[in-house]
Amino acid sequence: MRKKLGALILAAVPALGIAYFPRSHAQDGQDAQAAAQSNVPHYLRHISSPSNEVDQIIEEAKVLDAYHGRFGTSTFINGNITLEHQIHGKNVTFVFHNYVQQGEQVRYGANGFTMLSQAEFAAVTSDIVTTLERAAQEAYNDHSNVSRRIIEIQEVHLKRNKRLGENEKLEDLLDQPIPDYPGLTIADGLNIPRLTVTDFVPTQLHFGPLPRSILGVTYLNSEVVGYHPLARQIDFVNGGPNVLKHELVHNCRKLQGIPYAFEFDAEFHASMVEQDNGLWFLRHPYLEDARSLAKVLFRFDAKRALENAIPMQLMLGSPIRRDLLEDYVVKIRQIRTEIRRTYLDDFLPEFYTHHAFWTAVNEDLNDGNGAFKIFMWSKYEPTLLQGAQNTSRWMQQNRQIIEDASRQALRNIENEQPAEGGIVMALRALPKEEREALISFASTLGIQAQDLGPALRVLERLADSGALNRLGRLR
Amino acid sequence: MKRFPQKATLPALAFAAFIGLAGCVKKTFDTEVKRILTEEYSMTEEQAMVGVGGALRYRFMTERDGKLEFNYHSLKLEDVLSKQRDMKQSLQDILNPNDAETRRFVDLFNQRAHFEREEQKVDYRIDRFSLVLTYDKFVRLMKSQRRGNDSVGITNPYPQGLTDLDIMFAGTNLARLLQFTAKYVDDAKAGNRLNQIENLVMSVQYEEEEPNPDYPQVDPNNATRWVQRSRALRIMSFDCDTQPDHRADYIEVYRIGADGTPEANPAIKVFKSQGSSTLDVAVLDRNPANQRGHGTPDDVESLSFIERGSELYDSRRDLLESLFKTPEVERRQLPKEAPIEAEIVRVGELGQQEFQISTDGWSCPLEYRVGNNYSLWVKFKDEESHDHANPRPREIEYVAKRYFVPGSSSDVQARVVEFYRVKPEFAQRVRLVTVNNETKMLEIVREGEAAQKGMDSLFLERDRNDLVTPFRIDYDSGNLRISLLDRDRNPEPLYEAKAEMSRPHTLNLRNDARTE
Repeated sequence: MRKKLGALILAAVPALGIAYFPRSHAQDGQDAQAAAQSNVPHYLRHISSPSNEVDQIIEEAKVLDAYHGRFGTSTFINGNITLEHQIHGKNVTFVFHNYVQQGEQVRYGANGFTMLSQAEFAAVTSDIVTTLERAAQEAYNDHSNVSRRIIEIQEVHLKRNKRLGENEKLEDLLDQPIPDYPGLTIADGLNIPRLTVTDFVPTQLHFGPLPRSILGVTYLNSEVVGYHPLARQIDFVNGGPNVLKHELVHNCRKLQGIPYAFEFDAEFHASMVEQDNGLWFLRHPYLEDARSLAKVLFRFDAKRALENAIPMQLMLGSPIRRDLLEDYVVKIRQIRTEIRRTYLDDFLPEFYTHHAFWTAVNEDLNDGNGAFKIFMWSKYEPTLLQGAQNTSRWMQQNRQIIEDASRQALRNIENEQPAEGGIVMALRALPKEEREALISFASTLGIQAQDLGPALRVLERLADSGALNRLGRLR
Repeated sequence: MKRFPQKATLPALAFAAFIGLAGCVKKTFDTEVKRILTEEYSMTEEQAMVGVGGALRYRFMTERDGKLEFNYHSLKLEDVLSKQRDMKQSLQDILNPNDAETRRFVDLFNQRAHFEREEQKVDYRIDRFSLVLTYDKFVRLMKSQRRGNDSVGITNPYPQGLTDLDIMFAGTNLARLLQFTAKYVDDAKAGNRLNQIENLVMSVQYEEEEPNPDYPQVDPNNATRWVQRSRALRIMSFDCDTQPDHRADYIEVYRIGADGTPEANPAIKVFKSQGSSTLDVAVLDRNPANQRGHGTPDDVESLSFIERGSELYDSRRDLLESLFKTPEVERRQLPKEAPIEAEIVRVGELGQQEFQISTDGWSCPLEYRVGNNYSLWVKFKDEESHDHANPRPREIEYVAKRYFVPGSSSDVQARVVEFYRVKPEFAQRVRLVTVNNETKMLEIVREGEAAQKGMDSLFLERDRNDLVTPFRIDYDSGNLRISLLDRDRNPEPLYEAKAEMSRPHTLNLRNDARTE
């Protein structure tokens, strides 16, 4: 799992903008205070954590400007300073990439070498340990009611359908073995994720650079998480460990283990625990469905809002219309809270209660967020067509047409699935070396990794034309 | 992360996010409804977005008392089961020991036991959903109902009002809820008038070629192996009528174990559907008594023109054979990784590596002798120079018996050939050998002596127990041809040496004898 910055980098706030939108005295005060503290880790020095959301957007862009181009790699895990530490009672190995002990000092190599004192390195370890502790706790808190709610909903359903006696409690039965299936319990059969905070804690946390715009990475089921120093800086700016929390949701194999992570939009789910600034909502690809739902259900047009707030993309930097953006971020916060609460508090319990049904629905709709979209439509009335009343009336008037289109769409999806995505599947099936070679070749043509999409679509059309039919079999 | 990888390969995990973010266009229900409404019904983008939501509501929800409720029967049971099978496939892919990249991933993070447990959970759900689906099919066949293919927008009620949650809940007693039976049979049983009118027992022993579980990691030379199997069934037909008409109304088929005891539950039950004059609905339980799932049907088939149990043997032998699934060979055996070494051998240093030696001796596992089902082949020893114009007397190297299928000219399945040495007093200075494959007689003419004629056993070398035994036996095994050799014939007849070679397409066996 990777969390990427592609879209953000394309829309980085320009340096020139600073002249128009000077930093506040409060921020300057925070900076000065931070610099004065000897225990501030070296990568957080000179970075502020503004309370105003628009200031966060601007500061985040400055951090990106300062560090853009420093995405790199850790060639080997070996040779870095490692530290064992208990986080919420679980042993975690912290690997500090490119930090190497040299006598009394620690050598740090990100862009050339810097020497850190033991005290400076202690600030680094303290910061990362504390950040992980906080991120795991917050990620768990966001899911702490899920297990209980699932059991409650299931119990009501099973009693209503007479599968459970009136005086029986489902919770009392969950640990009972299933006959003929050694080692399995009733809870396993029902696929109930019984969560604890340690489920979100990885066994290895790698603090170090990641390649190609990736801020964080989690290898599914392995409990190994990577966290980029730049991500830590962005999290600092935005006032909370959002990137790390996102990865820790991927890390929780009861929620996103294999094969379940393939059955819904795992990135969307992980993004629900983030509480970053409003610009992420306006542009991040993982939140595309959230923007779409916000438009049709809440009448908030994210595309127009972005165009209004940042009217031009200039190579020398783009101007922000601060008055508009100040207004939008308030609305975005309301919307995100609504979507986030619905997802975590209501949808997830329903999804796991009828897991077999909803995963099949996602497949049927060819949409990892299909189940969540249905859920949102069960909770909110659409407002897009000049308010709820008018929209509801329009839906009634067009019901027959909509049902016809629904039938036709399902047939189309069913019929065209084999050809669709053949190239993508082919790419995925390529050996690693060949994929790297393709990316490298594309870069020689001036195509960056994140711009490969249009090229792939051209190849898809070739596939549709029959020239690359062979690839359809890979789906 | 890509949303719907069909195969959980490591490249998918590592590369998917990149593709997903690259803006790849995916045709979803959402995008497709929107496209149809804008392109074909000329709606605006905003109207189409509302239309998508409407489509989701109409398809997956029902309205009750002004509230929307999810309709858990809006998908066919087959689709729910299919999704579970997809998950199983993902786990099988990642646990595939022959995929080196996923194997390294699984083992690096010590995940094998975890994935195997996940697979067990998915197996449980597959078993549960399959049973309900099988019952659904049984009920429809018994009522002679057929279901249409187009289920869009309609409700597909599951049997007994079950939902996915009811099915997954182990407390729901599916075996009690889903009775694969017919009222007329139950009534006959209750009324003690289940009259047996036919009782047929059949059994067969045979050899079967199956995938070699050690291939390719442990044994790279044999993709298959031969195993001995036996099958036995009891087929019983019953008349259920109040006034017996001696016609079958119900059939039960039982597997019979190796000890001759039939299993407790029938492996096949055949019923008459509503209004049918023949036995046309078969319920199958393919799991033998010692396996999970025994006693629970796993398939239902529609039959034609069956009027009694013996007709299953005559016309639906495939159905009977399907009860004897070849046990699945465990393909998930992890390769035994040899340590990486550096071995340098110069030409000439290798020495003889022709035979594998066993002090206990090797034995041929095949039964191929049915009376005298062999032909005789005689070979003279090769000479360095042979003058065809003035041939010298020759020495017999061996007499071979090549076994064939009785009543045919084809070799037995494993193409067995036995090689015998000839007693020294007959083997030397031979001018002519004549064989008769009908009588198995040999005639040997030696230099300056009268011809000697007799059964082959008269001329062949005997071991210390005075038995005529071959010094070499060749046969096919999988992709190999095996040679067992008794090189010293002393002190006991023992095949201490074994040689293996690739199985040739044809047997090149020389015959220097004249054939009568």
